[in-house]
Amino acid sequence: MNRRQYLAVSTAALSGLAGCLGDPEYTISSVETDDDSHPLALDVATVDRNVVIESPGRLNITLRNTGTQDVIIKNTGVWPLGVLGLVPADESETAGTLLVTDEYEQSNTVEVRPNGASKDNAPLTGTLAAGESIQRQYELIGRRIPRAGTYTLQGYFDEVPLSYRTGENADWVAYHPSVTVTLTEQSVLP
Amino acid sequence: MALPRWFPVARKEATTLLRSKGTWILAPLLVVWGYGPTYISWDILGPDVTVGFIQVAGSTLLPLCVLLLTYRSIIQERTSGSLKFLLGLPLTRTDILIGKVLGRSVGAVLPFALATVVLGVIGGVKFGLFSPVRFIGVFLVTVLYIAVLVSVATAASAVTTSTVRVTAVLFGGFFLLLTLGWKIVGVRLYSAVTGNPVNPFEPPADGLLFAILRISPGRAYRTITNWILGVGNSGGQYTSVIEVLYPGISTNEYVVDAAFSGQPVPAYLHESIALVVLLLWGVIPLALASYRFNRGDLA
Repeated sequence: MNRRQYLAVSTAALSGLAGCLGDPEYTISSVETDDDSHPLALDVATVDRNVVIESPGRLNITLRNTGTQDVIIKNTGVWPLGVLGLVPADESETAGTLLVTDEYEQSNTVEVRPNGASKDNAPLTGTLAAGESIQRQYELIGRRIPRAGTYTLQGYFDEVPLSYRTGENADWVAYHPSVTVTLTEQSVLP
Repeated sequence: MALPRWFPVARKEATTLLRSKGTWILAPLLVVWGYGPTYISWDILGPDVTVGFIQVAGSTLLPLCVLLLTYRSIIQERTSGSLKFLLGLPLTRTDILIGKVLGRSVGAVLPFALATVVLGVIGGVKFGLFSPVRFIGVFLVTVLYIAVLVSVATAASAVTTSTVRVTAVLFGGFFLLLTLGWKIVGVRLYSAVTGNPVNPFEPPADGLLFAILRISPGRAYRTITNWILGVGNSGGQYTSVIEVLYPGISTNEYVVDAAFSGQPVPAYLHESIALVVLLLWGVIPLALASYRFNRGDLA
């Protein structure tokens, strides 16, 4: 190997090391939602897809009552969406990544800590009128993300974030949102 | 006003280093090595996280490269015989040592300064305007650290007669033990002296432990730069210091603020003492080497 080759290989190797001492940054590369037969539908829109050191990614999550009847919604934490998290799609047992919303600070039922959260388990109940929708913004903080990959949206503490019923005497139905969020790692070099 | 006698030696050393491609490779290396933002350091420092990049660049790679650039400064002249020619000029041996240290320091500082500017531009664009006072402060302390490293390497080069020996002393002893591994060595030394085992995650509030740890020039350098950054009183890398003081995270770094929480801290653990330690590293080895070099045989 001559000197030029040595310099080229060294430079390439060092370029590969760029930013290796720092934390990875991510891009919310896709969000997919599946509509099902529930009277409730969940829309997820990406407001800021860059999950970077200086700012979190942002998702607008909208819960819609697509039915013709009012829906009574019950959950814990904050109403109506509760404490949400992203769980790796391939390892449902792994602890989730907390999604953070300003609602947690305003409520006294959810406490967010640097590496976790806790919540009051007292049930919260409210009604979402027919055709009505409620939107909340959630932040995806890079420090809480273990790695890039495909994640499923679900409750941070319980898999089921909320339950609903369409009448006072009806049974509560567990609501499983069908949302997958794909995160890809950003390259340090432009 | 006449230039000092050592000036031609210093100029030759600086220009020799600066004409070498190897010296300038240091600049991109330091940029790549230094740029490493973390979420937690951003939470604590905000845009000043850019200033931390200089400390990271100056912590491991810079000492290694500076030692590589300077460890043969005297021994090469001695083994080739050119030292005798140099001393035929109207120069004292001390002039040669001073010229070598200052010239090689300038030669090592310029690529580092270039790397600092690049890191500042990258960090400024991505993270916003940082504190110029902190940035310049950390830069100047790193320049002092470079001069100390050059001084130590030149001292070792002046007192040995074999390249193998100076390599072993500088890279095996000074770099591996005192710079890279001093956290482990220092803690073991403390345990051997006091008989107290140390849990790195919950170190005892003992001034002796922290005083031993900051004897290392590298840890003294980081203590001063952490002081300028305002992250905590410790010789660890700023990201580790922040993690120790960040709620809910446990890291094995020795931070005075965490260990002495609520207790009085001995005055000798003040960060300014680390500056004295660093200056002593710059002066004492060179003074001892000068004493021996002035009296030794050139063969």
